[in-house]
Amino acid sequence: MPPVRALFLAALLCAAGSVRAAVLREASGLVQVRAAGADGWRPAGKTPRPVSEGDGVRTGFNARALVEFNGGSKLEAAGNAHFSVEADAPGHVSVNALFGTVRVSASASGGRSVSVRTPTCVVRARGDRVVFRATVAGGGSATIEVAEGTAGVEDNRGASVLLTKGERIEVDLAGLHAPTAAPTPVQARKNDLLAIMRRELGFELGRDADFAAAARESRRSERELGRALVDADGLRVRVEEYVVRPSADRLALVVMNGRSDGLSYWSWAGTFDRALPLNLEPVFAGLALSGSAATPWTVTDYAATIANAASSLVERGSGGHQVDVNGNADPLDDVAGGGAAFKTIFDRWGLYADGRLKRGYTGVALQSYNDQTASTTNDPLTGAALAGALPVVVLSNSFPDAASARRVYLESYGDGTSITREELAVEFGGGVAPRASFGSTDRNMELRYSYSGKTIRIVLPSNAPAVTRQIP
Amino acid sequence: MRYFLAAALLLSSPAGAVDWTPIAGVQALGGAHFFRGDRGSVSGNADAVFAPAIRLNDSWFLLPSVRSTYEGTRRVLDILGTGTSIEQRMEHKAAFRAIWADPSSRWRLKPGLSYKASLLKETRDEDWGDGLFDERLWTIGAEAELLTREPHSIRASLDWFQASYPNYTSLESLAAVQFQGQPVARELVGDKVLDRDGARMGLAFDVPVSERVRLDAGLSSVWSRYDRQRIVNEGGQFDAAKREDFLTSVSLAARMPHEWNADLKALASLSFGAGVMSSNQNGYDASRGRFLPRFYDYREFSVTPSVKLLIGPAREAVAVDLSLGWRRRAYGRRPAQDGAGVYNGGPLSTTEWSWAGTLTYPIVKRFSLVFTLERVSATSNQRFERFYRYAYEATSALAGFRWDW
Repeated sequence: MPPVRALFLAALLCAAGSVRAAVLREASGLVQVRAAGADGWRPAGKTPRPVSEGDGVRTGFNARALVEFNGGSKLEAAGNAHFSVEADAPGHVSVNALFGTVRVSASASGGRSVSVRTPTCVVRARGDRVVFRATVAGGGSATIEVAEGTAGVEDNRGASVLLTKGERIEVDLAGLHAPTAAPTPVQARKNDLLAIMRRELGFELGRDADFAAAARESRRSERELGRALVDADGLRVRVEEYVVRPSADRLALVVMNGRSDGLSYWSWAGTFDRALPLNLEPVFAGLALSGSAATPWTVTDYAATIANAASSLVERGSGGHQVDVNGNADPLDDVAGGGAAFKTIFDRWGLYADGRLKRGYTGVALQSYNDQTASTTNDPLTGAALAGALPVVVLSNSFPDAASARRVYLESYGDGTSITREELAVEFGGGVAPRASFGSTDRNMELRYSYSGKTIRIVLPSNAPAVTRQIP
Repeated sequence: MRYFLAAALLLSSPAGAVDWTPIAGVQALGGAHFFRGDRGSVSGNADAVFAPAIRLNDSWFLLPSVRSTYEGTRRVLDILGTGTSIEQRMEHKAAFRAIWADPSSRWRLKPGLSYKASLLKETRDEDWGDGLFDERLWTIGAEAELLTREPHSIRASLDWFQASYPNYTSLESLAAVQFQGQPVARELVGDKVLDRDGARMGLAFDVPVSERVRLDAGLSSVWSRYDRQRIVNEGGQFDAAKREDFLTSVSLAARMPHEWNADLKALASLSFGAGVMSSNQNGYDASRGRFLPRFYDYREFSVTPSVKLLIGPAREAVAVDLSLGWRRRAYGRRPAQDGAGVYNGGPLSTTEWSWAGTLTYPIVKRFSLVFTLERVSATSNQRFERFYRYAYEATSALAGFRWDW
């Protein structure tokens, strides 16, 4: 080969070497490349491999890619990063960082231009050697940190700043923020720990919310059922109301109260002339008043009890039979509306305080309570002779407080004893309701029975006494 | 001795391998709560959390945490229909979580356990620790997280729990002992009827839909088994079977950040929620002999648009949170009642509208003033409100400070 041609070829080869394309030098994990103008991403394949202007590179989780450019500049992409090569000429390298973190080491000596463009700023290498890191987050905001040398950062509005070693700056759509000191490796590690753990703490609170919701529902149901109330004195009273069925022909409606000083209850227990249906709705509906026709079942015996651990008041009736009270001779027991109206009337009845008879009556196939005979020397239920004649009794009632919903029934006995029944309408949330609210369906009723210096208090969640009332 | 050696080994790990950083926060707010026009006493709320976050090495982290809250002023997002205006609540929780997060793996595994004591003081004769609904809650479980595109991930968790109410014993079970010989208790009556155990399952993920929209979704279900509570049958008596509840909730939220300029940014959110309670327990209205099947079952839907505005430089931005909420709950099998308690057919439903505004004003680094105003308005077709208010309006106004570390 003639020397001139050989020299020309050598010169050409040298020139070709100096303008070689950027090279993807290392790739670990999932690294993909999209050729300029192509639609799809392809695995980077074996390295080294060339990367041309317009090519895009992206990395997957925990992956890493190292690209070497003309003039020796290097770009190292961390996991979950995405960038493309804009220009790669001997004197000019430009990279478009779209997402994630890239670390660039470059030299801008000899008039070379090395820049990284993010959605919100352009970072340019200055001087002989510069190492910087650019992190692009969602929304395009970027954080630039300089580890070595000097870099110029210019936002989309034309404002610019020079960063030197150890400085960082945040840039968003609004432009450059004030530069601050970049965290030291120790600080960065701590910040990283803080970020992970704050996130975990947030998850911990989220798990709490599910358990709290379940607990809240549990409490809410108890309140909706009226099991956690406040009484007329503003004190906690727990209430449970339920039906007990000791046998097929018996049932008891019970209202149990619990206070800090113990239990008390009200109950109505009835024995019927036949087995009751499973569905007790029609049974309760006909207890106080059967209606225009006699019910298929009749209460033959009952006991209504108010009691606590120390005392009890019991009302007992027996010999129950259904009577058309609108058809009997007593106009005072008539039910409004005319027509037949059946009620159960009891032939024998007694009121017992702590097991001791206070008053009672007897009769035979009574059609009206007018026909009853007051008991004097014998127990009306058992017929047993009493130790002494029953004292006379005077019944009265009053509203002792004009402002509050409070009514007092007094039974004064000739032997000097008395039974007081106090009815109080309880304000929602505790306390005695105003007088005008007496009878309101919004209010619970509290009953206080006093006898021989002892008091039994009962808060009733329903109109159970009215539903089961047998004796007027 | 073994513990001492273990601690010594831990501390003698290569320098830099073990490091820790504290996470802490305190919020204290004072204010008043108004319920149906009645003002509760002026009181305050406080919330403090402390968690020393520990990195054992590049893969293992520990997150012990303690949190205490006190609530003297009720929030409108709480159960409100109870009318116990002096209600106060305290919660104390200790939790421990280990986190395995190897940098080379997409997975994070997080076993953990926690204990929480909730104390309620609702009436003036209840002292702290004597509250009827005081609760003790133990949980133990684990979460697995799969990182998709950081910081987004999919998380699945399973926790076993045990909740007990030490001060709640059914009156009926107590009566069975105290009033023996009287027909005052049913067969099979249980004592600690609110105590329950069970499991919580959770699945959640967040994903960027576009540069401007992110989706958060979650599904969680709490299965509760009431070991001492029997099923009420049609006759108002107990069957041998025990109560079991499933409380499932689903949420989906679209979050849309927007930035007008450096001094004005916003995060708008639109959240949808649905909840289903499914319980095998029935109800029984004793004074009417009315059987109420599947008494606790309900379905609930909610929609909550909200926006958070950040005004001012990022590090000291004033934050304004505004939200509007709509929620409807329908009890499928529980009939509504009229004012006298008579059942009038249709299923009970409630509708709730709420709005809230919070202003967070930074004073110095990590320290902000907080002002909150919340209001809720509830309506219902349930007219019987002797025990629980279904229709009400309530407002809470609070002001205080927040400190974060």
